[in-house]
Amino acid sequence: MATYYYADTGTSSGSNGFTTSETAGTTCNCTITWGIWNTDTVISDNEINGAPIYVPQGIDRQEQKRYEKLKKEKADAEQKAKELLLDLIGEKELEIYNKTGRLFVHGKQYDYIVPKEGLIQRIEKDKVTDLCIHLRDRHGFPETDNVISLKLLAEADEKQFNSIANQHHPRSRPEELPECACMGARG
Amino acid sequence: MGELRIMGSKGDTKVIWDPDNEDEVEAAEEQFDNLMAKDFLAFKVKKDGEKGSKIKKFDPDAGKIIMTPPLAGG
Repeated sequence: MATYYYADTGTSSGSNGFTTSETAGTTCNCTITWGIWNTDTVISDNEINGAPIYVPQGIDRQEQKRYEKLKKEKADAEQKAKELLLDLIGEKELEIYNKTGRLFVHGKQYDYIVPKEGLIQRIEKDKVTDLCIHLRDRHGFPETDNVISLKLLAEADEKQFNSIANQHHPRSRPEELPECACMGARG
Repeated sequence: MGELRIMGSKGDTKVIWDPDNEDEVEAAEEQFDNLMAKDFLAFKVKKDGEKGSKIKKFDPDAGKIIMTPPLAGG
């Protein structure tokens, strides 16, 4: 299924995040960069991972250049974060991470599935619980840096990790867990 | 050589020090302390994938220290 990227900063830091959707809509909310709400969109000349970027119609060239620059900075930052992750998990596991977007973390007491986006899952013997914990200003950092931070804390201080996280939706553990990097590895 | 990796919005910044060079150790330690004062977390890690340990004091003999911004529940 295709992913469509909508220029949507929606944050006070102006970090130029994107909202994504699996349907091609016609409007986007651009709050910080252009101060335009619910405006008609056109497809930018650029793309992310082969998917088109929708930007507000009528946006002037200068703003668009700034927007593209921010987008590149974000991609470069994410690449740097992946290089740091490579140092920690090695090439083979990084390949799996790039494919799945998920890291399996072995804590002393429990295991965790840490995805690039979305809630962390704490895996117990017969139960799975969703955890919401992330870098305080997560949209100001590369996604993979968020993953690395969670991995490091879950491994080094699992008690603190669980005390910070908000817990949601405990349920029975499924028979099969999704593929993640580092599933077999145990430090 | 020791390495301090400090997470930031444009990716991590690297600070390197030679444990035998007092000035470099002092500079790295100062950065470390400044970030700890801002609630950063610090982890001493090894390259072989072994689990890191959380530290509160700068270790000049650490191979690599990763500093992350504070975490919060959502």
